[in-house]
Amino acid sequence: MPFKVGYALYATLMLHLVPYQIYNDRGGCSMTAIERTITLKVPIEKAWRCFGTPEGFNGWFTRTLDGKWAAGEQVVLGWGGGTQCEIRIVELDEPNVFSYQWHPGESGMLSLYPESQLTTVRFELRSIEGGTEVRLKEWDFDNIPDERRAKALGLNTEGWDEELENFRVHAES
Amino acid sequence: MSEAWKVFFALGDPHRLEMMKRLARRGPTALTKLFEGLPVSRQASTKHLEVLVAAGFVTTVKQGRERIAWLDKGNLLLAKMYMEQMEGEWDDRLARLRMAAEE
Repeated sequence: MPFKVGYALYATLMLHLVPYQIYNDRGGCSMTAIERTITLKVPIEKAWRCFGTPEGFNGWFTRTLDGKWAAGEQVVLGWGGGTQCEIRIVELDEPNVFSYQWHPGESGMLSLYPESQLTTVRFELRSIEGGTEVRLKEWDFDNIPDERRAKALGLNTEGWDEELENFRVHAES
Repeated sequence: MSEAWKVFFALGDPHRLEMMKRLARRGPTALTKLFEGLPVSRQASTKHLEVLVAAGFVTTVKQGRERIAWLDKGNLLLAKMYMEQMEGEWDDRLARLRMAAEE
């Protein structure tokens, strides 16, 4: 086979296969959801207090809550210093399920990005011997565009460019 | 440069990020199309692209008169780093949940 033909075939093959591989990989499980399971050494009624009431939720997740703590409601979570974000409570089924939607890792209201970019966070509580099992799942991370990922990682900020410049000067000296 | 630094260096520039975004959206793209509308010269754009190629994010191949570029693993790396950050945040929150629940 003449070199040119072989090369063209190879290139054509790569152009079709490589992108397919990438987009296929992107849809894989580990990139779209986070799952964690922890065991708390308290009865389910006590564990539920951390989710079921604003006071309980403020005890570990937030500092302030603004809004009605009920399914279907939108609540503003606050951490002081003006940092806040908004969630929409989806399920609040005492004492087993609490779930909400938000824009993960972002300071801002639900309207900050399109609805199609929301992720869902769900906690499932279950009575087990000696305590309560809490299963956390957050999913639909594949809805988040690359530019938001880059922003969350601080990869396109001026501050980062400065850091990089410092590094370059240091490395080249 | 270490692997992590290559990643940070490659993505830590708005022009390179813009190229990555274009490639992620469009798939394999001719360089003329890839550089179109970027606020830097073709020469500078080529340099930026070389950084992305050196980091292993982008592959190029000559096809006829054109050179074509496509994203190799850049968006996968970005997604992986992002997920790791999000997982870290959950691990911190769950540690606080445990303290609050068991106190």
